[in-house]
Amino acid sequence: MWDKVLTRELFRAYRLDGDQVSRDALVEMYLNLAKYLASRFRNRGEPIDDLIQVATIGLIKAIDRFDIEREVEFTTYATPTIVGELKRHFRDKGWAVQVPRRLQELSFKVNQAVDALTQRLQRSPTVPEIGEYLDVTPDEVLEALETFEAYNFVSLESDRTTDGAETFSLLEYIGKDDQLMSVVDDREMLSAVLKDLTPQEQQVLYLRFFEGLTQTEIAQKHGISQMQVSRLLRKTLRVLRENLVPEGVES
Amino acid sequence: MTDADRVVLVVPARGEYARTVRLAAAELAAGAGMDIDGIDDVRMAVEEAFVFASERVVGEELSFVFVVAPGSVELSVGSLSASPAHPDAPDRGERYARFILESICDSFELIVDDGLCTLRLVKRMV
Repeated sequence: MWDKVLTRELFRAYRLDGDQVSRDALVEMYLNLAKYLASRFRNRGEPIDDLIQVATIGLIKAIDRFDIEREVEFTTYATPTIVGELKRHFRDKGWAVQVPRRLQELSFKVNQAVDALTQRLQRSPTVPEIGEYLDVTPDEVLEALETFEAYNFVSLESDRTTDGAETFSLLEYIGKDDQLMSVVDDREMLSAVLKDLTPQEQQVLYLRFFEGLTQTEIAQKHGISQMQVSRLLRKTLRVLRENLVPEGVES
Repeated sequence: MTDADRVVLVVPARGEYARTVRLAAAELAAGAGMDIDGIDDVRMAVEEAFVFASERVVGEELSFVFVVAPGSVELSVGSLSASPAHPDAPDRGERYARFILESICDSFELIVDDGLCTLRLVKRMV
């Protein structure tokens, strides 16, 4: 489908001579790859033209970054770059499903109830306790927990920055024997993987997976709600996974 | 809920069904008496297990088998391919899943037998 010899020639002309015509020809040649990958995301409520635009941006990035000396086909290199761009597009949109207003409001109330009960009981509450507190069923509580993470409550609240989290860098705390180092190839890769995480997200990751604190303990320590910690963690893990394993499935 | 109940959930191996499995797992964890922290750990573990399993699915469907007893939730996901679908990063996905799941769960195993593997994890109430 793609002329490998012509591809190499075009890349040499672009890399060695800065030939923009060759660069444009490469984009044109591999546009079908971008369109194909974009089509895999077509059932998520986004117009296909928007997805093709995002995928094309990923294609251009791959063309600009591809090392012609590597013994790998361009399609092998470009595919995870394009897929990564598409996944970031959905992550940054804020939510993937339409959420009824009733559930939005209930999620906000459950968020407050968890913190109020934690304060009162001096421990993490159970679902029946939250249901009784709000006079709703346990099923509604569980659905609200799920909804809170899926939906960006921009108008209802904002995540406060935790104390001391503004400059936190996980790299400073990771030793060569830490288990996270077993996932990456080296510290340089770890640095690249962490680059998309804010200091607060890195700190929450550290407290949960290295210090072994529960989400409630993290929330109490830093004056944010347990459900905010839960949402932060989930987003953090998604970013980590995308940066570590870009070819994977998104859930 | 009796002493130990077995609940089986079979879903298409597509990302949009992770929510279905997470909701079911949260319900079961709540029924086992776990608090919000425990339930969230179960949901996180299920999400990572779903992603891991999707990359090794044999066929079009994933089978999640929960064994629920007071204070504990056990999950098995199989039969999966022992080799990941993307050979370019042969075991990074597994290493990542292991890092997350060993941190969250009380036990985590990848049982390999004759080219297939089963992911098994257990979360207990504190």
